[in-house]
Parts: sequence; C-alpha cells; structure tokens
Amino acid sequence: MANYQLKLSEVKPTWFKLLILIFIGLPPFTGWPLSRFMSGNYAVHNISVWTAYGVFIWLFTGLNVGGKQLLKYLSVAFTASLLILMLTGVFSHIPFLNPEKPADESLALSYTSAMTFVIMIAVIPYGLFAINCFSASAYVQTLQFQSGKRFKFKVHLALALRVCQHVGDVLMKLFDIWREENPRLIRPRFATDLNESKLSFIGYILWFKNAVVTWCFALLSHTFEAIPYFSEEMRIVINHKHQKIK
Amino acid sequence: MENKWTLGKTAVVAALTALAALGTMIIRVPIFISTGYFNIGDIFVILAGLWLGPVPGLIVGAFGPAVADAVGYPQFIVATFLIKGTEGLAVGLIGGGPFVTSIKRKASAAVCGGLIMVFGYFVFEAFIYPFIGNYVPFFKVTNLAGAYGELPANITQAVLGVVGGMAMWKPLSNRR
Repeated sequence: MANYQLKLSEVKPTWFKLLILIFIGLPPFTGWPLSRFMSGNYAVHNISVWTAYGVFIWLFTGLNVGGKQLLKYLSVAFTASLLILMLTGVFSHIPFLNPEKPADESLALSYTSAMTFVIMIAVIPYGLFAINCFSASAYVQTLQFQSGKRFKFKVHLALALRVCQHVGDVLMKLFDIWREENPRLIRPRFATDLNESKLSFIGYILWFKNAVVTWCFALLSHTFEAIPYFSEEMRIVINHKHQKIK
Repeated sequence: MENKWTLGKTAVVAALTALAALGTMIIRVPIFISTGYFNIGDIFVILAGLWLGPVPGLIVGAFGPAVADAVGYPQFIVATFLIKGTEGLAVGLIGGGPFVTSIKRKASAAVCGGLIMVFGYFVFEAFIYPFIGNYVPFFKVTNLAGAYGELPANITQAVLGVVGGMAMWKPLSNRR
C-alpha cells in the first residue's frame, strides 16, 4: 500500500483539500449521489450501494494513511458499530421506547441495523482521517509568521483543531482503558454476578448506568488531561508574537 | 475559568463539542416510528451549559450533535443544530454560568434544557418537517404519529441528559 500512497494531507491550498474531503464525504450528509442508485423496495440492493461506498472510503483512507493506521480507525468504527447493533437489538424489546413497531418488525430491525452498521463502518474511519488531514502543528508554525486582526481567532482555531484531533486519538485507546479500569463491567468471568439476584433486570439497568457514566468520565478525564499542554503551547505562540511586536 | 474567553475555554469547548458528537454517535438506538434515534449526547450539551455558560453551551449543542447526525441521519442535522443549540444556550442562561453554584438553579436549568429538547423535536417532527417535506422530499421523514411515538424515547433521553449532566457538572464545578 505504501508504494501507491496518496498524500491528501499535503495538498495545497487548504481550501482545495477541504473541497476534496467534502466532495468525497458528501453521501453521508446529503445522500447524493448514492440515492440515485437506491431503490425503495430492495433492501439488499440499498445496503450493497452503501457497502460499495464503504469499500471506496476504506481504500481511499488506506491509500492515504497506510494499512496500520487504517486498522486503528477500523477498530474504533467496528467497536462503535457493533455496540449500536447490540443496543438496537436489546432496546427494540422495550415497548416504552418503541411503542408502535412495524408489522414486519424483524425485517425492519434487520434492515435498519444493517444499514446503520454499514454507514458507520464507512463514515467513522473517514471522519477520523478527515480531522487528521489538517496538521495543527504546521498551522501553529505558520501562525508565528502571521499578524493582523484575526491572529487571535486563528490561534483559537488552531487550538480547537488540535483538541479535536486529540479526542480522536483518545477514542482509539479508550476501549482498552475503559476495560482495564472497569474489569467487572465487561469481562465474561464476572457476567454471572448479574444473574445472582432475583431482580437481575434491575442489575442490568444499573450495569448500563455504570457503564455509561464510567465511559463518559473516562472520555472526559483522558481528553482534559492534555488540554493544559495545548493551551500553554498556544500561549507561547501569542507571547512570542507580542515580544516581536515590542 | 475566567469570564472572558481564554485559550483554556476554547480548548474545553472544542473538547466538549467533540465529546457531544461522540456521545451522540456511539450510543445510539434507532426508533422505528420516527426514523430518529435515542442517544446520550445531551449529557455533554447540558454539562457545557451548566459548567461554562450560555455561549459555550450554544456552540457545543449546535455543532457536536449536528456533526453526529451526518452519520446516517442527515435529514435531522438542521433540527438538531437549532434545538440542541437552543438547549445549550438555555441551560447556560438559566444556570447562570460558571460562577453560580446553586444546585437548585443548576437542576432547574438542566430540566429546562431537557424540556426544550423534547418539545423542539416534537414540533420539528410533527409540523415543520412534514411541511417542508411537501416541497423537499429529503425532509419527508416524520409525521404527527411519529412525533408522538418518539416522545417516550426523547423524554428518557432528556432524563439521562439531565442526570448525567448534573452528575458530571458536580465534580467539575470546582475547576474554573
């Protein structure tokens, strides 16, 4: 793959790179042009159209970032997509959340789940690639030679970009971190704990609440721990600029 | 966190926006009747409003979940941008920003935010989208029955957002 590497991240000017990324990522936002090939009556056909788009996206991303990085993106995409599939299956049995199910319930459930799964495994790797296509470090370096009214706004923009890229990195490690920090929530040898009580249903609700809250806290703490360093880096850029002006 | 817009505030707002997008995207459960979905993104929107104030709440609410809607639910981007943006703004305005620590005031702000979300999606799905859908078929995804059907899921989502947002605001409120 390395022999045929595309280098979209090095394309200049930036607006042209952005245009290419938007054009390739247009189907998830608008449905176009995939909607032209889709048919209302043929579920398999529609899923195949999205699968073809997914294969194109993987190929494009893989050619840009290499196989190893693509696998990292795919691990995030598959973890998230499989989680959604499982939740869809479980929650579809709760009448409170789905009061009026369609007549051919299992077919609709399968179609919706399969479609969501295919769209997510196509779009998540592309989203992560698109964010990392813009180099925050290079942007910060160019800022050191710039001035003008919008200088501070640009520094804030560079910081926001750097933080968003960092969240993408955190996401790739988060599942392992979350599993290590909360072994009782996920490892099979603890799964029987939930069935010991006669009120096991309440146990599963508590499990879900604990899983969500600890996941959110893990996401927050691992995201926020790097923020002081990023802010300090940008502060140095601003101070350096002020010293130059003086 | 100071009242003026600092680099630290930008970093935290960017992080919460990305987290709101992730929260909306990663835990989502499709709701058949309205073609919408249940998610936990509101936790981060309400947290942003409670912790940082109205403008950060507006930014996190408007941009985070709307980006997540692009994956599989593009027809809801406009509604989400407006509704969740208003939700974050209202939570920030009622909650009083980072310098107010009254739990009662914060709780009522979070509840108001949740209600805005439930009411906003109902109005969009019951009236606005069916109307626009007559002219632009892309938006013809919901109707009045669908909007009623989605109410329980949206109320559950709002409750989860309020509880989760308050639970996260409490330990963070000492860090300004």
